[in-house]
Parts: sequence; C-alpha cells; structure tokens
Amino acid sequence: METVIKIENLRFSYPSEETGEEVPVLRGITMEVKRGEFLAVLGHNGSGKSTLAKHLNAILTPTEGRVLVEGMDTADENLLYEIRQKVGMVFQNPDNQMVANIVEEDVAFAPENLGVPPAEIRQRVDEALSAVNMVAFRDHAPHMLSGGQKQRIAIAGVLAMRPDILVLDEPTAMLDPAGRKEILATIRELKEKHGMTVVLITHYMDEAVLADRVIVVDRGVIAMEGTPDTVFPKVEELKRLGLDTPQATELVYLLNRSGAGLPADILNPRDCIRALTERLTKENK
Amino acid sequence: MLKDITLGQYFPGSSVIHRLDPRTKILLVLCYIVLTFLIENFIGYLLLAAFTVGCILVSKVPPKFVLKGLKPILVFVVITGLFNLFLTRGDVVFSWWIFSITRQGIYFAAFMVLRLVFLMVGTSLLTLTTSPIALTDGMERLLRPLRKVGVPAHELAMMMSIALRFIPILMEETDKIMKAQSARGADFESGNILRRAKAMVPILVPLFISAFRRADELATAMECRCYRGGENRTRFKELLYGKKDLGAGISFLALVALVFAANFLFGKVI
Amino acid sequence: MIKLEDVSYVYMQGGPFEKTALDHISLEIHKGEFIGLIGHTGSGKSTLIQMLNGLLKPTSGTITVNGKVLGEKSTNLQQLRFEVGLVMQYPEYQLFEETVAKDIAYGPSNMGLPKEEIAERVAYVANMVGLSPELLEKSPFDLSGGQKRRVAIAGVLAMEPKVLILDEPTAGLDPAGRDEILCKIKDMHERMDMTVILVSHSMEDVAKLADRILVMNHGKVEMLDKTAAVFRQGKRLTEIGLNIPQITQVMDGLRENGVNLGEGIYTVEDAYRQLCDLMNLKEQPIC
Repeated sequence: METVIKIENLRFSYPSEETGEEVPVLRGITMEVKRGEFLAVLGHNGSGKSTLAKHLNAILTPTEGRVLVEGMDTADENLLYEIRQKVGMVFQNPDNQMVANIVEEDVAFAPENLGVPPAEIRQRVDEALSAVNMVAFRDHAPHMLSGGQKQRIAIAGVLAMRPDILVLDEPTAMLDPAGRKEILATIRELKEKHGMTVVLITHYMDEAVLADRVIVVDRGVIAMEGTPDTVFPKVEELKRLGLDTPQATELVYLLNRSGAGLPADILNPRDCIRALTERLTKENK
Repeated sequence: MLKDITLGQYFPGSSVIHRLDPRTKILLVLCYIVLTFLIENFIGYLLLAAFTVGCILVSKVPPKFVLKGLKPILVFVVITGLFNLFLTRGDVVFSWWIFSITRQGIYFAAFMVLRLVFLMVGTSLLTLTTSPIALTDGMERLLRPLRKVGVPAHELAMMMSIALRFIPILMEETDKIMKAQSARGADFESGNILRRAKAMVPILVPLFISAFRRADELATAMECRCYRGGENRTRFKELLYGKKDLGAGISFLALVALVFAANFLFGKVI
Repeated sequence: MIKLEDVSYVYMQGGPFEKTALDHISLEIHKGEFIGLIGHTGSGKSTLIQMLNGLLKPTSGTITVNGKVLGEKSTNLQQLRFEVGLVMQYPEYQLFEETVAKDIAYGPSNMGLPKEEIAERVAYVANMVGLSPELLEKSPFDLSGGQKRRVAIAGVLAMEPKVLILDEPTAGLDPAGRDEILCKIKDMHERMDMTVILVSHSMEDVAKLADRILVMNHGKVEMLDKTAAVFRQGKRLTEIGLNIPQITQVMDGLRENGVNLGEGIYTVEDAYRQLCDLMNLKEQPIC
C-alpha cells in the first residue's frame, strides 16, 4: 500500500520556561501511515502522542528529522496550507474548535478560508454533514447540541477541506459513553465508506482494538507496534506502560498463565466466550 | 439554565423585515436616525410614527418587545426633556418660583424626547429582526471598502462572531465554577462591597484561565482549518440585494419625500 | 444518613423549556456506604447530587441529610456543604490560589477554622491523595492534569465532610491516572470513615469499588441494590443504554452456553478464580 505519511527519526524538544534547558518530548520516532488504514496511537498522558499528532499537519515542526505528508516536507512553509488541507485534525474539546454560531456556517469555515467559490462550499458542506449524519442539524446553534453531536460537527468541519487523512487527538476523552459510540461509528464509516485514512490518538484500549494497526508511544519513542491481536495480549508490558487491556484479553492472559492454553489473540467478549466454551466443553467430554 | 437564554434581543421570525439584507437594514436605520433630526414639525413626526408603526406591524414583533428597548434610556429621556423644558430661553408661558417654562422650551423638549424615542425604537427594530450573526456579517460587508484605509473589517467581524459563540459557553462555565466554589463554602452574598469583591476572586481566576485555554485551543483549531485572516477568503453565504431590499429602499425614500414636503408646507415650528 | 422522600426537581418551571430532571424519587443511603451512581447523560444524576449539598432545592419532596431537613429555614446551607463534600466534574478547573496549600485551605478557611488546624488538615489530606510535601508550595497551574485533580479533591476532603460525592472523578484521565485516583478514593473511604457516592459512566470503575449501585434512568430510580445484584440484570442495563463490564458480558455469555457459573460476576479477579476452579487450574496470585 501507498505511504501517505512518512516520519523519519523525528525529534522534538522545547526550552523549559524555568531553566531554559531543552526538554525532549519526542526522541527519535520513525513510522509510516499507509493510505486507507486505521492507525491507533496509544500512550499515557505525557507520552508525547499529542505532540506527535501536531507534527502530522505542521502545527509543530521537527527539531530534528523529517515529516513527509504525501511527499511534502512539513518544514517547508510554502506547503503549509496544502499540508493542512490534506491532513484534517480534530481535537479533544469540540466547544473549542467551533467558530460560528450555526452548524453549517461552522462547517463552511475551512472552505471559506481556502477561497472555495460559494456554490462549491454549499456542496462541500452538504457532503461533510451527510458523512457524519448531521444534515438534520444544519441550522442549529452548536451550544444546543450534545457532546457527541458537537464532535461530529467538528469532524465535518475538517472533512469540508476534503482531506486524505483524518487525525483525531483524543476525540472522545470528554464525551459520555453514548457520544463515544457515535464518534467511533463515524470514524469507522469514514474509513469503510469513504476510504479515509484515519490516525486515532487515544488512551482507551477499547477504541484502539478497532484499528488495523496500533503504535504505542512511551516517553517519546515507539514502544510497541503491530496489529491489535499481537499488541494487546502483551498484558504485562502494556500495564507497565500505564495502559489497559480489554478485560477479555486480560482474563485469557491470566488463565494462560495458569496453563489454560487458550489462543492469546482474543480481544473481544465474543471470541473469549467462544474459546472458553470450546475449551470447557472439551474438558467435560 | 443559563445556556438557554437568548443572545442579544433577536426575535426570530420570517417577516419581510427579517428577511431583508442586513446591510439594507443597517443603512436604512442610519438614514432613519438622521431623518429624525431633520424633521421640523409635528406633522413630520406623525409621518415617521406611522412609518415606524407600519414596520413593527409588518415585522410581527410584539410591540411590547420594541417598547422594552426604551426602558434603559427612560431616565435619560426624562432628564433631557426636563433640561430642555426648563433651561430654554424665550417667550415665557408659565413661571413659578425660580422655574419658568417657555414656548420654545416646550417644543425643544418634545422634539428631543421624540428623537430619542424614535432613535431607540429604530435600532431596537433592527436588532430584534436581525440575528447577531447577520448583523456582524452586514457590518463586515459595509466596512469592507474601508479596509484600504486600514480598518480591519474582517478581523472585527470575526472577533464579534467568536465572542457571540463563546458567550453561552462562558456563562455555563461561570455557573459551574460558582457552584464548585459554593460547594467549598464560598459565600457570595453577604458582607460589604470589599468582602464581596474579594469573594469573586475564586470565580474570576478560574474563569480567566479557562478563557485563555479555550482561546489557545481555538486558535490552533482555526490554524488547522487553514485560517489566515481575511485574505483571499470567500463567503459561504454571499449577501445579495433583492427585490425586497429595493422595495424597502423605495418605501423609505417615499417617507423622506413626505417628511420634506411636510417641512416645506408647514414650516419650522420654532 | 441521607433520605429522599418523594423528591422532584423541575428546571425552569412554567417556562417554555420546562424539564423534569427528577421525578418523585425516594431512597435511602446509610452511613459509611460506598454507593456507585450510574445513568446516562440527562438521567438526573447530576441534579440529584447537586441537591444533596443544597446547590439546588427540590421542587417538591423532602431531603434529609444527617438529620437536617433541606429547605427548612433552620438548616444552614453553608454548614450543610461542609458536611456533604461535592467534587464536581473536571474539578481542576476550579483551582485559583497561588499555591497548592492555599488552594486546599480555601474550604477550611471558609469554615472559619483556626490557622493551626487548617495547616494540619492540609498536610493530612495532601498526604491522603498522594501529593508530596514539596508540591504544596508550588502553583497549582504548574502541575500535571492528574495532580491538579488530586489537589481539587484534597480541597474538598480538607473540609472533612461526612459524605463525599465525586462526579466522574476519572473523566479524561489515562488508565494509570484513573487507577491512582480510584485507589485513593477507596483509601479515603476506608480511613476517613465517610459515606461515598461515586458518579461514573464507567461500569468497570463502579464495579471495583461500590457496595451498592444506584441506577438512574429518565429522572427515576431504576435500581438500587448490591453491586452483584445489579450486574445480574445485565439485560435491563443494556436496554436502558448502559454498558455492563466486558467481563460480565463474557461470564453471562458462558452461562448462556451452559457453563456452570455464578451470576453477577463483575471483576476480572472473580472471573479468573471461578474459571480456575472449573478448569482445575492452579490459581496464581494476581499482581
């Protein structure tokens, strides 16, 4: 598959306010994002995962190393708006991402900035709102919507740029379970129906389980990488990195430690029930 | 709940007046204000009153909302009226102790009061029938030609619109912080002014910090959405003058013509 | 300890936005209990907890807290707030003082306590929530997210309330931060002899700590029962839009498949123990 984002030995540090010494945040990250994939970046607070995200659309630029978005170097200021258009970015707090007082006007904000002609803006706004299933709310005021709905509008606001890659930096951290479900469903639909490349920054393992590939960041370096069914069975390693595993995976891990001999790559209750039922009925025979 | 209050005093509706281009409305209200000062006799004010009442009826805004707009300036109107009444020199018609009222005084007072009332009613009608967003939008367009002489029309409008967007959010936040501090035993209601002012610190500090944090996050989000000022920006909903606006303009011109005719026919009162 | 009798609360009564947040609720919470309060957004749980410390007054019905009837003139609301400590959602946004110590001292100084006692309490609760002494003289705004939250909790604890209510104390924290806070809350409950009400969206969190669970739905009490008993009603919980812990789903699924397991298992540890028995495996200590 084609590489859309390429990160080469990315280092980032900033001078401390107190001492003036350089504080390293990212300490040599090399990774790639493939077109159409759903990549989850996991890490505890302060691991550097949000700083990494901000490098993907040139909000931050590397202290050392390179970030290439579809071949464009993020350090090149002439390419700034082209890069930001390709990589749409959604943040944690939906309230702090909206500028307008009417949903569709807010979605129109980015195309307006890009100088898109009004007729096409109309088209893009409709497209973006329907991609997140919020067409019915086009005339509403943002502060009358639920958290999940607001966040979907924030996603639509980014989709109106027609980006190739969607980066979501802890988009569900401030939402209730219903809102979280809404956002995850939206993300999956964008990937499956619209072929969007998705990078999801999160510390919720139940979200990362849904991804095609997982990268675990710890203290500014990549600590683990692989498909969810190879990463999550490493229960102890994840715990040491301050992360969770799905309860089903943890149960299987514990049982296997006692010698149950179950397949380790179990991530959800359904597979767990199947494997355990099989094992237990075999026992009885 | 605080967040449910309406912003400004917009009274939603779909009347012709609501649907006029905001620029038309702003310009007409400005002309209307100038007109109130050009009227020279009571016939003129009668015409103006008829026109204004007509507009209110067409807009379907309940008259009591329009009159509510007069409340804040009531004291001002009364004082202006009294000053004019008692301090204008001329032909005395009534006098008692050190007070004397002149014919000119009565007319001046009546004119000033009428002007202020019409001015307020006119602007209230504008804000009642135009959403804050449309208002900012209209003002931005009208100020646009002034960009060449350095008036940051786009930036001003953007600031206004963001301010409007964040008012309900910050109100809700204030409510939350007040509750949180009350839960820690804060008392905002008793004590003298100094004590009460001091009691506000635990609300204001978190509120400011939160406002700055929000501003910071919003700025980043706007950058991510390729914001770079007013340069090369297009607008989603272009404002277009239509037949309605032409109609409104012509009606207003008719009023102006009538008022001048009245001025000519009936002359100056004073 | 806390008793609600036929309590209702209506927002903006008579207005066009009238909304019933609590609908004739009666319940009782005993001294020293650890209650988990769950329900989705808009179920009335926030209204309920704000009522318990007098931030909102019931539209009808009576609330008795520690023998005092809310809404009666003789009841001093401020006094009540010292007895019922409320930690609101994202409490770190209420910090305002120059130093952590001063911020924690805000509640106790509103109580009018002598300086020495305030200092004593600050030191005690800071230790309780795991803030090291050198942090006390720092500005609260220089701390990490998790530390700020613990400062805010300490600020409420310093009033030594008899009831502690926490509204989603783990929202937005990462797993390590979450576990740390939950662990501290458990500690406080045990060591400070408090009644605790923990509001959470996370069934897993509530399951780990609560003696009894109160489930709210559409302004009414849906369930109020022992934790295991509540999780035995997995179907009903799912129906009203709540998640049950993944481990409970697994165990329920196994039981449906005819595996002989007890009902209402809601922690990984219990599940592990039961399955070890069943499969004749040797139990290993869980780290």
